[in-house]
Amino acid sequence: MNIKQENIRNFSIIAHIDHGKSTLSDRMIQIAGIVSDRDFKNQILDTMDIERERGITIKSQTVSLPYKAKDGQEYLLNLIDTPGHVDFSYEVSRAIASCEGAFILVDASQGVEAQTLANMYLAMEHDLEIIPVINKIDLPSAEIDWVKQQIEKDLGLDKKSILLVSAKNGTGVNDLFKSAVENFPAPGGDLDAPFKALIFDSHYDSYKGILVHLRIFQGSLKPGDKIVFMSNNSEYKVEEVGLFQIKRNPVKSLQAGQVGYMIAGVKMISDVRCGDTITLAKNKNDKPMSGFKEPKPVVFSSIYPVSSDDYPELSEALEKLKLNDASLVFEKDSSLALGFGYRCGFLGLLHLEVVQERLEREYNLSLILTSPSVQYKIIRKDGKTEIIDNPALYPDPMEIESTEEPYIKAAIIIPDKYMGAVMQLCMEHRGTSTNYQYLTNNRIEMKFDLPLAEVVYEFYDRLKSVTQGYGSFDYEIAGYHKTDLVKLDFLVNGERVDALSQLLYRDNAVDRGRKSCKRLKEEIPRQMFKIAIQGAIGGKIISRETVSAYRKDVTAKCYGGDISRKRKLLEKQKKGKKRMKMVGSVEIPQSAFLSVLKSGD
Amino acid sequence: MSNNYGLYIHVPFCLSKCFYCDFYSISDLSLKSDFIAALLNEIKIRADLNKKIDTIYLGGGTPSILDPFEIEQILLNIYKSFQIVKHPEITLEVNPNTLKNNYFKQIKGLGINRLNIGVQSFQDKKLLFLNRSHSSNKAKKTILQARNADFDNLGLDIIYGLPKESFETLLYDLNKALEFEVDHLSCYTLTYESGTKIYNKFKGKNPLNDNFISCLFELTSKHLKKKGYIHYEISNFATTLKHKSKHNQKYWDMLPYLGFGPCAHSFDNNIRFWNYRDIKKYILSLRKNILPVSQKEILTKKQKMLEIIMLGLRTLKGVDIIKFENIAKQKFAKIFKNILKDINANSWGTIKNNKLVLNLNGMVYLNSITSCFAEKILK
Ligand SMILES: Nc1nc2c(ncn2[C@@H]2O[C@H](COP(=O)(O)OP(=O)(O)OP(=O)(O)O)[C@@H](O)[C@H]2O)c(=O)[nH]1
Ligand code: SF4
Ligand SMILES: [Mg+2]
Repeated sequence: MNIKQENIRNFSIIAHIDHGKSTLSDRMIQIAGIVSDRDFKNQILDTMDIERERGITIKSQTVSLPYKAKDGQEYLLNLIDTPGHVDFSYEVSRAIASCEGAFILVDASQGVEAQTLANMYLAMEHDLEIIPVINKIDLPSAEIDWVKQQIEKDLGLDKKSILLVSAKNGTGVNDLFKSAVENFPAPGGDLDAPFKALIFDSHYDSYKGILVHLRIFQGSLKPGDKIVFMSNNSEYKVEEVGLFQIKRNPVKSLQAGQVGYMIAGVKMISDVRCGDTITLAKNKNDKPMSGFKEPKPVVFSSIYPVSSDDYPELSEALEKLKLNDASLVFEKDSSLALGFGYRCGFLGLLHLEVVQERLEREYNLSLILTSPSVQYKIIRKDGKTEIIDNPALYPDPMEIESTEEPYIKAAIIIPDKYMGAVMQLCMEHRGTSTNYQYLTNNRIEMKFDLPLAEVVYEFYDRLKSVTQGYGSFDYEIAGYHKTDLVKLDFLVNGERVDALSQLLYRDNAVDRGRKSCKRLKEEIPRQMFKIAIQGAIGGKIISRETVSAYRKDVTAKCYGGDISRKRKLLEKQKKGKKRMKMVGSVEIPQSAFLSVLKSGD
Repeated sequence: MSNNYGLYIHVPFCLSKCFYCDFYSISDLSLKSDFIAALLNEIKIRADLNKKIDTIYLGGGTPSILDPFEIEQILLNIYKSFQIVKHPEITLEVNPNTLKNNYFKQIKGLGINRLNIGVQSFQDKKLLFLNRSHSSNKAKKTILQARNADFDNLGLDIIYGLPKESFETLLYDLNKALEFEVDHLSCYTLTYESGTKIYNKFKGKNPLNDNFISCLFELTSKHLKKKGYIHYEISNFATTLKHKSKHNQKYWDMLPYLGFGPCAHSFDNNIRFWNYRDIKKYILSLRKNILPVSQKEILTKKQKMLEIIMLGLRTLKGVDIIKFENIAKQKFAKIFKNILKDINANSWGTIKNNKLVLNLNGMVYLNSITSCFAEKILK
């Protein structure tokens, strides 16, 4: 397909979580006709199992849509569907960097929410042309005028430019093609200049090896070209270039302005870095383009293979996953109880869960994650300051002069009737209210300073529940404040399990210890003997639970002659236990390690 | 011990699919005559006049979909192909949705002497939830007709533990069943098997907690025992030992059985095998005179040990310790020292005449207790 540069449009769809980006992408993909009806499924760009199960987008996905305008001109529209959850805003920011335009989607019944604003700012930083779109107009609860006002006032966008669609039934979606062509600028980039491209993502394919996702800024690229990754000077020969059209679609060449992929027989995974510039080998002394901002992890946890033999597999899996998740950072770690592993940094708790699940599913590993922690500052009596995120490295309290913990500035948007409930919630989480302002009718934006440790775990769920789903939340990291830190340990049948230890604010420790023991009691399966679970601070036991060996549970089922099935269930139960870590004589399942964090009863 | 075989016929047709059911059945009846031809051929190929049969069980699916002449054909072929004892137990499972006048009299004439009617509940709300394709009235009519045909052994199936089940709804069903003075009752707890409608609807998770289900189970047992029934297997009750299901008892005693029809299981001499769970494959294979066996397993020593325990714990007969030790070549009391201590300390059961038998207190812990045994064996 040879498309003139002026007929290319690169744009992303951005929005708050669940406002319908992926569903809208579905409709555009169907109209463009690149998938047969037989192969089509809802949220087709959400390809990972975990995305489909949770119904959320985790990775940005590109798809190149052919479009023929009324005047007969052929266009290629490169659409990037982005995630809406806060933890994945790094995905959004990279998508935005390879676009000239963005549709900002607003749910007609929810209105502008916190990530609508946050993503809007991101797009503005990159000078994107922004078109507002109100989605879900088919809903009986749609309040189109109300949302229009918000778009005008909160987002500062022209009411007249708003498009109305229902991604669900397709109303108005055709207009988006027209609008993209008319309003978004064609990409620039000298077609005749030497080739230059930016890596914005990559992934590992078991047949084809590494696929590098790139946006070409200058010149063109074709199979046979010799290229170089500028950050490490490694050279490769291009084997295939192509477009993302749900399936890989190889093309003869990619040109300036286009978004596509390249396969170049890259053997060393570490050669491929998100944000790196690619040029032709003969131009390797050229100036690289500015890449992406480094992501800043906020939660840390160690990952260990359940079976220590799997350590090499874990190392390889992390490398490969890093290709497809530029925000993941990790370094070697080890623990007395758990052996060798990696200390990893994540952009939030959901990100952590996603990484764990992807490692387990895509690389068939069984893992233990230790209690997540933020980075604390420890000021020792001798004046030395250190940053720790690992309870194992917590010094003897006698040597500590003072401790500090990271804070965030949070922005919460809610209908004003929930103001009291949200203030209460933030107070419970040691927050201080700094400011609030009215947005359009009855909605307010409240600002709080909150300890990061208080929000990473389940603040978001609590906020959703106290505001009956109407509250939304965004935050940025904002320096350190004094705190009073203690280390909470857990003992299982008398043995301390270092992977369960956590650092936390002193006043929360007793309560957390008590609740965590309860949770562990539920998570640790009955074994053939009684198990004692204890919480301790500095050697003092503060809570205790026991797991007895039996519980009431009877299934009176008919298996007929199919006895094997029933037996296999028992055999499987035993196998399931392989996903547990032996600590002393007790088997502790993976889920136990995360459960201790949840503070609800 | 008897070396007699049980014989099972799987009739894989149902008028409609119940939402909880994961037995193999289809509702397209157009394959019925092809199925019968294939079944007769399977019986012919596996014929063995050295094998003595004392129970025949027509299950499914819905075997009462078959016309009497079809049942006659099947039974005739069985009689031709195997040695049948003098008074065999011959059971037919009946779905009330197939009720036809005179049906029972006719099949009684063919030698069927035990009926098991899939009533499931006497409450239309429950039947609707389960997507049973009959009303409670129709179920009652079916029972009365069966009674009139004068079967020596009449049994009903009841399902409990639906999401809205309460002690009242359970007692209602039990009492209704008791009104008919049936000889046998199978009371099953509703389970959520993957692939079924209710599994998907409830994402595989039973909305009732295990503790409550155990209470329902306990009530069922106590109530029926009070009315004179013997609780002889976890889900089965009979008025006298004579009225037990001899056929099903073979499954729990690990005695041999021959299964015919799609998805039917057979067990003989440590080997268990089962037919294709696909009627078309089943028919095609038999057209080529090839046995439609899908899979076969030879039980390992550990698997045998596990099955003896797992099945024995479910029954009033209990776990046969001698049989276990003959396979394990180790002392039962030694292997399971800790578990037996717990069972004793909690009064969950007793060992008498080399049988470990759980009482009702123990039965409510059945899954935990079985798991503990399993863990020890599989270690
Ligand atoms: N009624 C109605 N529902 C819609 C419409 N568009 C999307 N939805 C529903 O809204 C939910 C979220 O849709 P998605 O497309 O997954 O939302 P998203 O913005 O991609 O979500 P994230 O990727 O997680 O940020 C789904 O249940 C959709 O079926 C619409 O136009 N009308
Ligand atoms: S009638 Fe029986 S076999 Fe048929 S679908 Fe219902 S429960 Fe299953
Ligand atoms: Mg999405």
